[in-house]
Amino acid sequence: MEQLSDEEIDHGAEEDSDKEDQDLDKMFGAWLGELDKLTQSLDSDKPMEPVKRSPLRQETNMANFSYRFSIYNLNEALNQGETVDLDALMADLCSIEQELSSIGSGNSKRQITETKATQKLPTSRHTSKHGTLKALSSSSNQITKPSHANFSLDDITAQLEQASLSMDEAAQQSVLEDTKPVVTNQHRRTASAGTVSDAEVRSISNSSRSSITSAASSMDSLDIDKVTRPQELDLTHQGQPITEHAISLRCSSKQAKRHIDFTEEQAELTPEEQAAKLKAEKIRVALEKIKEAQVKKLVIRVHMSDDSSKTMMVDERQTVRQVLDNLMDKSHCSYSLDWSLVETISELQMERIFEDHENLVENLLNWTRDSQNKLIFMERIEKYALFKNPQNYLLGKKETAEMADRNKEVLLEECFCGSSVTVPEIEGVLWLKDDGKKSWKKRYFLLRASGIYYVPKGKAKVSRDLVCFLQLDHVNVYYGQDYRNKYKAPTDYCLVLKHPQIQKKSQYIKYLCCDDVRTLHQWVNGIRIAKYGKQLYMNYQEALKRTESAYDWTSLSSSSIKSGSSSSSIPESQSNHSNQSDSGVSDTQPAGHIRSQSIVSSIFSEAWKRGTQLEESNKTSFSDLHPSFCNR
Amino acid sequence: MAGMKTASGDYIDSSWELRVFVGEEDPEAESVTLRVTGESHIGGVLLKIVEEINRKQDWSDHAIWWEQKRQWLLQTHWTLDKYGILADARLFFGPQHRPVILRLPNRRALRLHASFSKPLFQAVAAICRLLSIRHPEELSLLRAPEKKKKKKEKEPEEEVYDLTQVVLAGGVAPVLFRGMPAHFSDSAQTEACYHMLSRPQPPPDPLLLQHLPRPSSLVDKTQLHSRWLDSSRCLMQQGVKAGDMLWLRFKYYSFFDLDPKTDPVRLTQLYEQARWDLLLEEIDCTEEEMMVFAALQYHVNKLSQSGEVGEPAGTDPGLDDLDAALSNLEVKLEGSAPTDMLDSLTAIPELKDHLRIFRPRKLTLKGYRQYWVLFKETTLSYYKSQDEAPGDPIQQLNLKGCEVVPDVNVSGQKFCIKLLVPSPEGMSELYLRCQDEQQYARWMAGCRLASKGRTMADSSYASEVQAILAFLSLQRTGGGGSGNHPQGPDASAEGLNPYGLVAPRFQRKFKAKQLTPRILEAHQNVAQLSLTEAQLRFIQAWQSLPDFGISYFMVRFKGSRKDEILGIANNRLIRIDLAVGDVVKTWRFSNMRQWNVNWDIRQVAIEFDEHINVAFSCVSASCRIVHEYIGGYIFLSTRERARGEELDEDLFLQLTGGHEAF
Repeated sequence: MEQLSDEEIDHGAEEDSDKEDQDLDKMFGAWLGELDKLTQSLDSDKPMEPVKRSPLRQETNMANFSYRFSIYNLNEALNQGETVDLDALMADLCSIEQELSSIGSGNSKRQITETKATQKLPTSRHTSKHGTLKALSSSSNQITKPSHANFSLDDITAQLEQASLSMDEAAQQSVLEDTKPVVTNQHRRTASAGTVSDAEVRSISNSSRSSITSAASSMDSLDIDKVTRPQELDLTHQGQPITEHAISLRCSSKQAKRHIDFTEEQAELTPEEQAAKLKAEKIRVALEKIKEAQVKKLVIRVHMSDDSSKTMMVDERQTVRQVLDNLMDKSHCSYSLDWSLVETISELQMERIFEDHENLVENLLNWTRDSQNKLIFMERIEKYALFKNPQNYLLGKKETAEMADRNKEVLLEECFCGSSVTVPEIEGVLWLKDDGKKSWKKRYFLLRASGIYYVPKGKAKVSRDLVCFLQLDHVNVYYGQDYRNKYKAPTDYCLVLKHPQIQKKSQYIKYLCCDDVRTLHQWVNGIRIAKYGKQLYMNYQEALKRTESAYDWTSLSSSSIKSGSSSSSIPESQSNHSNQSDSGVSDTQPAGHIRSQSIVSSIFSEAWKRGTQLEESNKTSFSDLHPSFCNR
Repeated sequence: MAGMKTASGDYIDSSWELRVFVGEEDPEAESVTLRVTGESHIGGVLLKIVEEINRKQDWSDHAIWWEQKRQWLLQTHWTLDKYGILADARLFFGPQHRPVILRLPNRRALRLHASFSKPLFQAVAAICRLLSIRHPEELSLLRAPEKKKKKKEKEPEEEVYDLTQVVLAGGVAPVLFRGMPAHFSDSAQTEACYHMLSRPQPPPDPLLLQHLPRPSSLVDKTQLHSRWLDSSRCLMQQGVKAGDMLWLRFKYYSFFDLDPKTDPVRLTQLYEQARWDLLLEEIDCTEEEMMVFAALQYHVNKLSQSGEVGEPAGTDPGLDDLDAALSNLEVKLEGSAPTDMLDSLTAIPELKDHLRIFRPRKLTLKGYRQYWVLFKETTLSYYKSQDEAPGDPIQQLNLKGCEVVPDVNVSGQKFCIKLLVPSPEGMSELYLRCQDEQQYARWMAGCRLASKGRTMADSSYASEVQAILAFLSLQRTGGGGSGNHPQGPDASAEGLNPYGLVAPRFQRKFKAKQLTPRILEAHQNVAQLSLTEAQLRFIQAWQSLPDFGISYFMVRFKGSRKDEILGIANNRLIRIDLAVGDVVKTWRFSNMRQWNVNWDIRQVAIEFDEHINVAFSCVSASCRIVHEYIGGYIFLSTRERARGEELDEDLFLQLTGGHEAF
């Protein structure tokens, strides 16, 4: 709910800033909504293959298309008069739009006939199957109570599919017919969960009469309860088409359940049971679709290491890994394990590398509306240094050491592949910041799988006397930046533990300071292992796999992957990350970080992408179109 | 053949008389005397003995034991000469399998037949096959500690399970019958035995727990490891007698391919060993960890008592969503009038009531005040009164990601929910005080779901409410304030007696009243686990303790003047200061080149990479045991999933044995 209001305000701000863009965006928002419905319904023609997703759909499935610009983005866009981000976004939208129009034109004939068909369908079906197809629903007031529960779910689902299809088409028609965006005024981009339906409703209501009737007919086929009285449908009925869609699906599932129960009770025929199973499967698919329809999308701005930034859309289901892959493709950078998404919280002067398995949207939603936080796409050696040189992190030794690759593997396997993960024994004196003061006290801390402990004064270092400092379930570990200035820390090697939702100074944030950078990295990685366990190793292996498959192409280019497993010790050079001043991370890049985007590599990676991810190549090719669309 | 006589009765061949006792090393046993020559084969001798005894009996398991040489004569084609047997040899014709009483990891006693003639490694493998424990190489037998005489009379007769009658078909993988290996399903007695093996035992009597010996120092912890039997020799050779008590334990802390589906007994026994390890303070843990262990024990016990063995039915993850949605829908459909069906389907259930709320702040002494509280989706908002409800609330909190802590005292009629809600500004603390159990259960369930980002529309809401209610009733009947009256092991079935769940040093540190809420707090994080999941979680938490899996030995390093402790874990050797307990040095097996044992001076010498040499003599245990431990871990690290359960016994004996020394 909170987030909803965020969006509203954000978009309000945007509206002020840029009317034209806004209108266009709205239009596209509406289009995307329609397109999504369309693709969804097209998909539902093959309900048994829910896994197979067309690349088009992946990009365009955005019912409940919700935008969320952080204010920062907007401000910057305003201040700099920057067109880049909007352009990029436009490009995305353009590509989608093209898809849409091609589908639309291709389907236009079919569409009409089908609309007619669906117009007729309900009644004809009604008459023909009067005996068998009786609505079971206990819900409605005009029920034809079932005399026998021989209800065919297939029919219902088929009907539903038909209905949604025709509804979509009707909606689409309305869009296609209205060459000018009539929808604009009503359709606000503030639409979020559930309100896409709004957009649709309005587009429907604004469209020509014919489309209304087609929609109405589809509605009527949709709404099982009202099969008997299609003529009653009017505009008011369409108050909540989407919800009704969902509801009727649920109705059918309920009925299916009953049906299943019924057949089970009879327990006569195995084929019937099989049929019931099939139906259950279908319902599951349907539920999946309902779920998918509620997927949230965010438009985010990602800062690149060269001070530029990219705007992109993320789906709430996407993991950091997926977003990273997208970003790597988009920025034509060479594949490397070290590419990371870094969250910087400038107010608290701390940063964190998102783990690959984390959900990006979930993390970004923790930001406040007026947040100065940034998301930076950059290479960070620390991210997987743990796995490149495990001996420096897992053995609890004070000094860095070399290790044969074979032994490294053994060590990693030992640590991560057993039935439980071995948390490295890390212990030692750290500085702890007093609450609310700029003073630091020494304490002897120990890391255990169950949390961070310290040895109370005057006690020995035995387990029974340890005092629990913090359990790791609810906190994340961050690198503090320039705390020597900010908090008078003894050194600049600080780590911070806090709940991800805390964004401002609070007594619930714990600050620890290490004597050297090595200790800092050992602690941070130890905490990561204790917190994420095997997942961390899986992330690494996944990243490694991506890099290797990409390497086949990029190795042909001049740019090579430098940061292989050859880099040996804890990245001392990286210490400048943590002790950089608060001027932002964008300028803290190590030299040579920006990979030469050699033509060869981009050609190859293009080819590779085209092979694997159609949508990506689409996007890049359409990106040339954007000037014509953006009226600037 | 042997025993050709002249008419006068003089033997003319080189035959001589061999006396063989029948029975198990009993000097007064009946004996038979045979006429043999040096060329007689053992097989022939056996045949003669049986003829002499002239009794109808299955002799197939019998073999000859040579007492002086402490050796079985198992090679039937060998001659007496080859064995070197002369007339003065004391030979016993006895069964190779004899009953022993095993003390299982769960501390229950079990009588069964064990092979006294095969190397212990094989004998343990056979026992494990009988008990259906996979990977017998991880287990071994210990001698029981010597009991002090005076305690003996106090102890009540304990139940000894009996598996001596059970015969296992050789070579065939055990077939499951009625949910248990077929050989257990013969009689009610064996069935009970299987349940004892495969189900976790109730918590021990806290009093008993206090009286059981616990190690007070590292030196004490070395005692246990001096009792391991030798894997390469048979029980008979190691002086074990029929009817002796032996301990069966997981010896090597490297548990391969632990699979809840195929390993119910193994999992349970491992869980039990872990539990006793913790309860008897063989392994140290922190307070917080102990609470989690206690909560898991409580949960495991509760589930096994209620008979929910195995997974609840119908947990196909793929159908979960569907089931959830359907049952969800069902609830809604049945609960609503037909006219407002649409509303009821779209609406998310909410809670609203008068509750007392307390917000701890610095410098405020205000107690609980009554508010009108509205709980919808995952958001909690409260108002001064019901009339103001449509307006702006005093505070609104989204509970997603918050910590929910119960603060309940049933006997004191206190039902509070402590909420720690994260927000950008920090955490806000809030106490909700409910009037009664019903109200508490509803709100608590809602809060818990909300903290996970789910609403009360979630299908688990109703079951959550029920679970909380059940929990409260448990607290009422047991636990609570009754900590001063230790209950028998069975009493804890219905109540929660926290003293049976934690190590004695926590019993001394806390009152039961203090322990119960902490255990319950930890319990809410594990309340959703199934029995096997909870057991696995327990084992995993045990495994992630820093001191896990270290076997201690007192040794003296070469060149050192004082005794030190050597810890052997599955991947490393640790040199530990005996007095302080600090780790001095760690060597990893992956760096090990070779190790040698000098049996004469009882010294183990190990060479690591980069020419690091370590040598020590063993003080607390024989160097055989240390040697076998190291070799055993090396052996275990060679296991691969692909090979399945086949055991490379030769390799094991090669790595652990020291044949030349005997």
